Amino acid sequence: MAKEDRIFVKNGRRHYRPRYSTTEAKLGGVVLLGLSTLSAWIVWKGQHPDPTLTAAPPALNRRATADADRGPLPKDLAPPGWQEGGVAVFDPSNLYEKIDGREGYYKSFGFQKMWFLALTQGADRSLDLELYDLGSAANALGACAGELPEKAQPEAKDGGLFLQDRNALYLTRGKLYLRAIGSDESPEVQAALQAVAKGLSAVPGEALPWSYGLFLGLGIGPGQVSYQPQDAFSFGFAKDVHVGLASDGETELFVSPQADENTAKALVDSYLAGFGQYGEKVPGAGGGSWIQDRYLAKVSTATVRRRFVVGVKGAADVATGQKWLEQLMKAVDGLPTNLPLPSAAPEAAEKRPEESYE
Amino acid sequence: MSDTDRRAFLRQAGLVAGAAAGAGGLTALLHDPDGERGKPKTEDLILPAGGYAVEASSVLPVLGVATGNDVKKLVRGAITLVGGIERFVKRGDVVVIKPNVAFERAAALGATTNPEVLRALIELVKEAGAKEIRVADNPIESPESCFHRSGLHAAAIDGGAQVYLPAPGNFRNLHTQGATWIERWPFFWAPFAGADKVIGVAPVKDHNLCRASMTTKNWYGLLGGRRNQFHQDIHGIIADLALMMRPTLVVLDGSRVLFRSGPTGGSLADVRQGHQIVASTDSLAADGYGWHELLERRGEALPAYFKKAAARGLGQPDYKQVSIKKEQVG
Repeated sequence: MAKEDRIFVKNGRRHYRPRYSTTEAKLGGVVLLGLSTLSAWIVWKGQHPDPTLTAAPPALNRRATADADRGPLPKDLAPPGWQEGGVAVFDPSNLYEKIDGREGYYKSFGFQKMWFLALTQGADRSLDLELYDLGSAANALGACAGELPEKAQPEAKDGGLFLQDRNALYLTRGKLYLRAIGSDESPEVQAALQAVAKGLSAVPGEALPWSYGLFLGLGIGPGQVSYQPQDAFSFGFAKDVHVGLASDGETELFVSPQADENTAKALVDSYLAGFGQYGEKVPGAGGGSWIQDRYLAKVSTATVRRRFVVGVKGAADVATGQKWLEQLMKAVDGLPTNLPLPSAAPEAAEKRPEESYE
Repeated sequence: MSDTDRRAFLRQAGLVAGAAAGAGGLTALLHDPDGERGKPKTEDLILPAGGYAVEASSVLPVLGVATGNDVKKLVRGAITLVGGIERFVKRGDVVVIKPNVAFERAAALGATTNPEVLRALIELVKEAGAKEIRVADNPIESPESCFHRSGLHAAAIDGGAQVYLPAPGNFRNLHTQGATWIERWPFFWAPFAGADKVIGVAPVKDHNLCRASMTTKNWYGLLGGRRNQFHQDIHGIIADLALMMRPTLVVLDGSRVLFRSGPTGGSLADVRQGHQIVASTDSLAADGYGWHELLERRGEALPAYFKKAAARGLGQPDYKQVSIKKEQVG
């Protein structure tokens, strides 16, 4: 074919056809039309967004992970009418991303992991589930007790504590502590809290720690029992302290097991010195050392019973304190001799600074 | 080896040694292990001298406390007591309002500024003739979710303000002369570009680390970077924040008080109705009032940040030492 016949393809080394196919041209036209239609649709949709896309709280599904990472959270926790978001998992390195400023609280209770799941109903109603693995039942109970509403009366059942109060649910199962937070206290939220509690009943519990038996025997309710793995009463030396709030609402009874009697005796001196920073000695029955707080006028003491530090803090007067102390010592006498010592108290990543000023 | 050869050898050896030294020097010159030298150079920001504060008054009270049930009247009442919004915002001003939007919590749970308080504040600022009102915060949790679930996004937009959410390009290094921890630190700058006035509006909250989060701690939300490291010296960083931001006005939102389990809260049982709004030109005085009268911790010593900030001359922690005016409204 003569070179001058070439109209569009001047380069002889390339594919050359004298004519173009009308079928190809038609197909090209169809493709162009399709692309134009698609572009027009995209532009139109951009100007008329689906309102349901923005109706739900945004980004609730962030950090969503596969079902395999639900941890102990049972499947299908959302009650009818509620929608589950994705599960987000937090460890000690990133817990602050979820609860910036409060992560130290859970770390002081041996925090290991937290699973977060948001349930939503419509645009404005939500239920946030925070399930904490705190390493031991004592830690879980301690963290839970510290967050229960004042004067709450949780139930001790199924090997854990349980309380549903207004918009919130508190529940422990062995080393796990669940806090569920509703956006309001409507009947819908309360029904959802019940459903969540029921869903979690399948998670196995374990026997409550010995301190619950001890304090329950003194007539102290499970909601008034707490555990301080460290810094009890703001004393840096006070670790592994079990506390029960007496029925008068102000006297605190405490017990701390030690390796032997000598260690316990040394610690008692520290407690008395600690109480003494804020008060003076007052005469006590049987020559006991009682310290009266110079600001609050309450009395406190600590002594040794077997290998336990036992004490009373914040009693109205020595007679009241002595009565509680005697009951507590009697109860401690009934504890088994082979009571295990806790493992080393967890190191809090962020200790509460003790500086204060006025 | 002949003399000529020796000379040639020395010349070549000298050239090689020179080239090697030159290459080494060039390597040292271009060494950029963390990539910082390759970045475009930007000047550190410096906030206006004296911050955004208005001139102190010898007549008007430092603290205005309004008590009542109607949030709108409370906000208006408290600000009127310290001179009225016209004292703080002039016609044509660009005003930044910094609420506390820290968590994905419903407003009723007290972990964030009450959206009704923000709405009332925006309305007042608009009345004063502000050209532009910007609402900004940098929560660590998803900012969109925090703004949405707290109701603060709707309050800001409905009120006619613009909401500034953090994005990587919205931060620049801020130089705060004399700060211990944040002398040079990423700062949520975008809303402050061209701003004339800054108003902080913070809830009254218990705080697990610093014991109380109020108007001074509220500025923490303007920091970028890995700011959680400052938890190791929480009082030190709050004192730095007081140095970093000298606002036009602070509003302490005592309509609700998160008195325990803070700063996240969660249970309605941890919240009580405070029925008060405090307006002040002195953040420490406002926080001191909040500590004693709203958190009701009268018998307890103030958190250490008060002393640290006061030592820098940044306010009066003892609110009883400043002029105060109270009024029942609504």
